[in-house]
Amino acid sequence: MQRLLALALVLPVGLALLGLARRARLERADFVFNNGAEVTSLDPAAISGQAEGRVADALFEGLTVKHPQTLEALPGVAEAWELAPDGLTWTFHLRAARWSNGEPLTAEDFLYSWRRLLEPATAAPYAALLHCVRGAEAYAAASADEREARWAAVGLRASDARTLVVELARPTPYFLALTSFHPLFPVRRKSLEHFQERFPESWQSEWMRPGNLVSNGPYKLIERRVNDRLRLAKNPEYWDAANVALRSIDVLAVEHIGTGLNLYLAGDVDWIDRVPTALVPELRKRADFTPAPYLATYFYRVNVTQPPLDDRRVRRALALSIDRRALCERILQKGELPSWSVTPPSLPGYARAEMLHAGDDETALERDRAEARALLAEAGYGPQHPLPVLEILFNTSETHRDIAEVVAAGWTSALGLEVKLLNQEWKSYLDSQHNLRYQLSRSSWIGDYADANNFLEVFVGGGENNRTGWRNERYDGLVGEAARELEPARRATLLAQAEALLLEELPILPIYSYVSQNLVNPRLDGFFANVQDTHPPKFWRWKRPAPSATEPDAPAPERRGKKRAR
Amino acid sequence: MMRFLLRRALWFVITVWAVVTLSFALMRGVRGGPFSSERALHPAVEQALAERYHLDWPIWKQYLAYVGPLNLGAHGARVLGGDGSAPFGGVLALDFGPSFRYRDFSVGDVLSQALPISATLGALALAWALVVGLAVGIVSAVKRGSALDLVVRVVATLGIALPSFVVAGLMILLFCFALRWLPPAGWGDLRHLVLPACVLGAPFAATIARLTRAGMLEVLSQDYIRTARAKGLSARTVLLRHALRAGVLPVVSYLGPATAGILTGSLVVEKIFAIPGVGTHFVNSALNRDYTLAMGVTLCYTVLVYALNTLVDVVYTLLDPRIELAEAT
Amino acid sequence: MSAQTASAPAKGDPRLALLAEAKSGRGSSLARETLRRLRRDRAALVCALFLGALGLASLFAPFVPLASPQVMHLADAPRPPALGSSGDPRWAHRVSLRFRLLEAPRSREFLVRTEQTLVALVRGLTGETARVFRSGAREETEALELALLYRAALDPARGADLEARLRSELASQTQDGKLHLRGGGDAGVELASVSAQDGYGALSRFDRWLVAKRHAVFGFYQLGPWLGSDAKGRDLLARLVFGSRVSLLVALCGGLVSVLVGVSYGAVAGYFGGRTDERMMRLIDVLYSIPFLFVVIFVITLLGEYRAELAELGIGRMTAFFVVLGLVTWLTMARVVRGQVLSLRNQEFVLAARALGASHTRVLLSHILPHLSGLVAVYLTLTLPAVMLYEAFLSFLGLGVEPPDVSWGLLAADAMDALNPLATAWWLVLGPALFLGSTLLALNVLGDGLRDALDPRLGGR
Repeated sequence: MQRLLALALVLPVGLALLGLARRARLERADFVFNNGAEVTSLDPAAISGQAEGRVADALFEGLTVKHPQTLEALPGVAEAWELAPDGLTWTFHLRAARWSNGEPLTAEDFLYSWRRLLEPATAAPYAALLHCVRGAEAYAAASADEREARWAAVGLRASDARTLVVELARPTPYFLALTSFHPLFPVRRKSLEHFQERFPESWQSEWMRPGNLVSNGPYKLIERRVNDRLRLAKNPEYWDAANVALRSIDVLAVEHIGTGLNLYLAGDVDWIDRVPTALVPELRKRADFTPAPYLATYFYRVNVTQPPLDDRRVRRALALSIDRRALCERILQKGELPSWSVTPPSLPGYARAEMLHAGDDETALERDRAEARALLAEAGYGPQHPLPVLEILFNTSETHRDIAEVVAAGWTSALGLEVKLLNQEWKSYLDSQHNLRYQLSRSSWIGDYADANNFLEVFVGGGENNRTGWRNERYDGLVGEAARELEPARRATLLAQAEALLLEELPILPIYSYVSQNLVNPRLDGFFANVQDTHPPKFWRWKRPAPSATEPDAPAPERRGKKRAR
Repeated sequence: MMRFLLRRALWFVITVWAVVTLSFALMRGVRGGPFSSERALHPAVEQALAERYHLDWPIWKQYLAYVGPLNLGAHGARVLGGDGSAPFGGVLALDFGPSFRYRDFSVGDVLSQALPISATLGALALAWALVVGLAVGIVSAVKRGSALDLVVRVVATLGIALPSFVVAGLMILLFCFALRWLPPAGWGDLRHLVLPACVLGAPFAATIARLTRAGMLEVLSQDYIRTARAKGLSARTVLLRHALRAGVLPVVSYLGPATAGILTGSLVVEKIFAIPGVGTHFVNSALNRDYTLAMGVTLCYTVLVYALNTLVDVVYTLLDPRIELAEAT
Repeated sequence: MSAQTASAPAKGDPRLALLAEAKSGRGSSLARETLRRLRRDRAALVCALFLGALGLASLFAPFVPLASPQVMHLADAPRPPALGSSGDPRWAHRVSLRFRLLEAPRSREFLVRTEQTLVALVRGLTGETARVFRSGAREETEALELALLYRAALDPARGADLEARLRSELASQTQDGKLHLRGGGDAGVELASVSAQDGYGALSRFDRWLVAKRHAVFGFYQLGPWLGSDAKGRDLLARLVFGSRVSLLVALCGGLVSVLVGVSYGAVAGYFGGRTDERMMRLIDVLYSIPFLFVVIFVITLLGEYRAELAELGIGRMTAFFVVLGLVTWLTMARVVRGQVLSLRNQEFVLAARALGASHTRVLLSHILPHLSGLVAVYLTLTLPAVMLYEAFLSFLGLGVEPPDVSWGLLAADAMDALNPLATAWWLVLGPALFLGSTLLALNVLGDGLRDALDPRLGGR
C-alpha cells in the first residue's frame, strides 16, 4: 500500500523533472515581442495576416523595403529601379544579394517565386495582387496544360541575372509598395523542390523547419516551438548585415491580451501590439503607449437581402443613430476617430466621401436621431407598426460585445427598437457572414496598402468579401472604371464617387477608424507609428545610453556583445 | 489478470474507433471551415487548398483516408491509382496528417512538442495536489469536528469555489508584481512552472481532500475498523494499514479522469501563463476547425483516459480485496 | 416506491407484507432521522438557510429594489462601492419626461410652481405622481426632468404614445406659448423628450408581475451601489443577483441530471456487474473521451442555426447550456457510484437481502442506495461547483451567456480583466468571489452535514 502510494507520487515528479531536463533553455533574446498568435506559416506566399507578415518581414526581403516611418520604398534586394515613361514597365536592378546559405540570389529566383504565387496550386491568398502584371491574370486562369505556353506572355522577365523587368497591364500606383509586401518575397527553388521530392506528402512541414529553411532577410530562423516562440538570429549573409543591430529576436505567440501586458510590465517582452481595452485610460498616461491612426475601419455589415434591412431608409436610420462619439470616447478610448466613411482618413491623394450627417458637434447626434425617427416613420415603421427585432452578430470578443451593447442601447433608446446580440465564435461567425445568415454583423477591414481601391473593391457585387448581398451596377462600374483609369486625380474622383454611392446605399454602417495599440519599450529605436502599423524588423535597434537622434536609414554602428540590462 | 488486460485491449480498440468516428462526425458537422478568414479567399484559392488537404473528397473517403492505413491520395499505392511514393497514411499508419492551422507542422509535430510540456506541468500539479489533498483529508477526517477540520474545509472549498482564472490573476498580482519573485508567464525554466502548477493543482487538491475526508469517515465507522481497534492495534496502524486502504477508494476512482483532465484540460492555466501545452490545442483546434489536430488531440486524450481508467480498475482491486478483477471489467 | 413493491417476486407471499411494512417504517424513520440529525448540525442549518435566502433572492430578483443590471453609465465607471441607498436619478427604472424652460426662471418659488403644474398635468394623464429632478443650479436651470416609475405594463412603444398625449395636453393648456401656472402666472415650457428606460430587458410574465410589485412597494427607492459598478457603470450587486438566476439554475440542472442519470446508471452497472457493467462502463469511456468543447461548440452553433425555430419553443442558449452541462456531469458520478456499489454488492447485508428473496430493484433501492447517499451528497457538492465553474470557463472563452444576460461566470471573467498591475478594480473581484465562494461553501457544508446525517451507521457515534 505505502509502496504503491510512494510510486504514485514519485512517478509524476520524476516525469516532471525528466520533462524539464529535456527542455533546452533559451537565453532571453536581444529583443522580445509578442506577435499575438502562432503564425499560420512562414511561407511568404501562403500567409495573409499581420502577425505572419511581421515574421516574413524578418526572414525574407523583397525588391524594396518600407521606410519604418514614411513607408516609402527603400532599396532592398533591388539597389535601384526605374519606371519607363509609359508608366507600365518597371526595371529593377538587383544587388549581389545572397541566401542565408551563402548562395547568390538572382532575378530568376524572383521569377520562380512570382510564378509560384500565381500558380493556383500554391493557393496563395494574395495571388490576385500580381494580376496587375500583363498576362498574369490569364496565366492564373488557364488550365494546367495551357499554362506552360501562357507563361511566355506574362510580362515578367530577367534580362540578366541581376535585372528584373516587369511589364504591367495597367498603371498601378501602388506597385512599388507591393514589392515590399510579403507575397512578392522570393523563396528558394532548390529547397522547395528538394523537399517536395523527398517528402511528397509532408514537404510543407519539412521545408520550413529551423535548419531547413533558407531565406534572404535580415534574420534567420533558429528555433520554433508551436504556440510558444520563434527564435530569430541575425543573418550574417544578409547584404546589409552591418546595419542590423539586434543579434536575436524572440517572437512570442501569447494569445491572452492580459498575459501579454503582464509580460510587458514585468520587462519580459519589449513590444506588445494589443492592450486590454479597459486599461486604456490608465495606459494613456504612459509615454510608451503611442496609439496612432492606421489603415483600418470598423463597421457593421448589413444583410440587405431581407426586410426590413432591404430598405435603404431603415439602414440610414440605423447608421444615423449610432453614438460614435460615445463609443470612441468611452468604450474604445484610444483616440479612435468616429467614421462616416468606409475608407480611413488620410489616404494619400484621396478625398474620402462621408455619409450625410448633421455634423460633429455635441448636439448633432440628437438631430441625426430625429432624422432617423423620421426616416423610420417614412418607411412605415412606428409605435403601431414597430420594426421587427434586430440581431447584431459579432465574434467572441469583449470589445465587440461592448460596442454592440452600446449600439443596441442607442437604437433602443433613440428608435424604440428591440435589438438582440448574437455572439458566435470566429469560424461560425465567418460562416454566418459568408452565407448571409445574419442581419447586422460586426466587421472590419484592414488595408494592405494605402489606396482607397483596397477598401472599395471589397463591396463590388458578388465579391467574396462583400458578404452583404448588396449589388449595385453603378458602383461596380465606378470601381471598374477607376481601375482602368490612368490619370491619378481622375481615378481618385471616381473612387470617391463610388464611396459616396456606397454611403448613400449603406450596405455597411461605418462606425470608427482604428488606431494602433502599440506598447513599446521606449529604449527601442527605429520603431515608428505609421499608417500601416507595420514595423520592418531590419531597422530595430536599442538606443545607446546617451540618446542621439539616429536616422533609420543612416544607422548607428552595431552593438556587439552587450546584453540589455533588465 | 492477463485475461482482464486482453479484454480491455479489445474494448480499447472499439472505444478508440467509436471516439474517432463520433468526433469526426462532430467536427465536420460544425459550421465553418479551416480556411475561412476575415479576408475571404478567392474561390480558386479555396479550391486549391481543398484539393491539397483532400477536403474536396466525399466525406466517406475522407473518413477512410483518415483512419488509414492506406493513403488514398495522389501519392498512395499504385493499386489505388497513386504513384506509390507514400502508400500508407492515416491513423492506423500513425500518421495524423498535417495541421490545418499550423501549416508548417504535422499533427504529430504539434503533439510531440505540446504533450511533454503538459505532462510536466500536470505531473507537478497532480503530485502536490495528491500530497496535500490526502494529508489534509486524513487529518480532517480523524479530527472530525475540530477547529482544524473547519479551517481545512473552508480553505478546500475556496480552492474549488474560485474559478482558476481568478486565482491565477490574484497569484500573478501577488507573486509577480507585488513581491517580484516569479515571472508572470512564459515557458522556460523551473520558475515558470511554480505558479501554473499551483493554480492547476488547487481545485484537485481541494477535491481530493474532500473525497479523502468523506471516504475515511465512511471507513472509520465500519465494523472491521472497530474490530481492528478492539484487537488493540495502535491508532496509527489502524489508520494507515486498514482504514486508508479502503478510504482512498473514492480518490482512486476520481484520479483516473482527474489525471486525464489535469494533463489536457489545463486550458485556462495555459492561456493565462502562456504555456504551449496541449490544453490550448484542445480548444483552439476546435475553434479553428483544425480537423486533423482536433482529432489528434482527441485521440491522445482517449488513449490517456482509457489507460488511466484501466489502471484505476487494477489499483481498485489491489486496494479492495472484495472486488475481483473479473468483476471490475 | 409502490412500483417496486409490485415487482416483488410472488403474490401473496407473507414475506412481502413483512417487507413492505419494514420498508415503509424504515423509510420514514430514515428521513425523519436524517432531518433530526441535520437540524442538530448548526453549521449545516445556517448554510441551508443561506442557500434558501439566496434562492429566494434569485427567484424574486425583480422584486428586490436593485439598480438596473443592464443600463450602462459610461461617464463615471467603474465606481468603487459606496454605502447608503441612492436618490441618484441615474439608477432608477423610469420614464423620464424632459421639459425645457424657454426663459430662465424668475425665482425659486416660480420654479417650484412650474414643477407642480407639470406634475399635476402628468398626474392627470397617467394617474401617477411624477418625481422631479432638476439639473444644474436651482436658479439658472433651463431643463426640468420629471420621472415616472417604469410600470411593467408600460412598454417602450406606449412611451411614444404617452409623448403624443402629453404634447397635446400641454398644447391645450398653453396660450401664446405660455403654460398657465397654478396659483397664477405663466411660463414658457416645452416638452423636450420622453424616454422610457426599463433597465430589465425582456422579462417573463412572472417577472413583470414582480416588477409591478416592486414599484408598488418600493417606489423610487433603490439600493445603493454597495458593491460598486463595473467597467461600464452597471451596478455590480444587481448584476450578481440577476446573475445568480443563471448560475444557480445551471448548477441545479447539472446536479439534478448527475444525480438522476449518474446514480442510476452507476448503480445498475455496479450491481449487475459482468457484461452489463463492462458495456455500460465502456460507453462511459467513449463519452468521456469526446472533448467536451466540441460538443459545446456543436450544440451552440446548431442552436444558432435554428434559433428562430427554437425560440418559438422557448429554447434558448440557456437551455442549451443546461443540456450540455448536464451531459458531462453525470459521467463522473456514474463511475464513482459504480465503484462504491461494486464493493457494496458483496457485503453481507446485500447477500442476506438477496437470500431472503428481495428483487434486484428492491435491493438496489432500499439496501444499496441508502449506503450511497453519503457519497452522492459529497459528490453532488463537488458537482455543483464544477458545473458553475464550467459555466465560468465557457464565459472566459466567450462561449457563455449572452449579454444582456449575466451570470456569475461572466462576472468572474470580467473580474479577471480587473486583476492587473495597472489599475486594479478590486471590488470587481470581491463581488463574484464573495457570491461564488459563499454559495459553494454553504453547499459543501450542507453536503457534509447531509452526508453525516444520512449515514445509517454514524448515528450512534
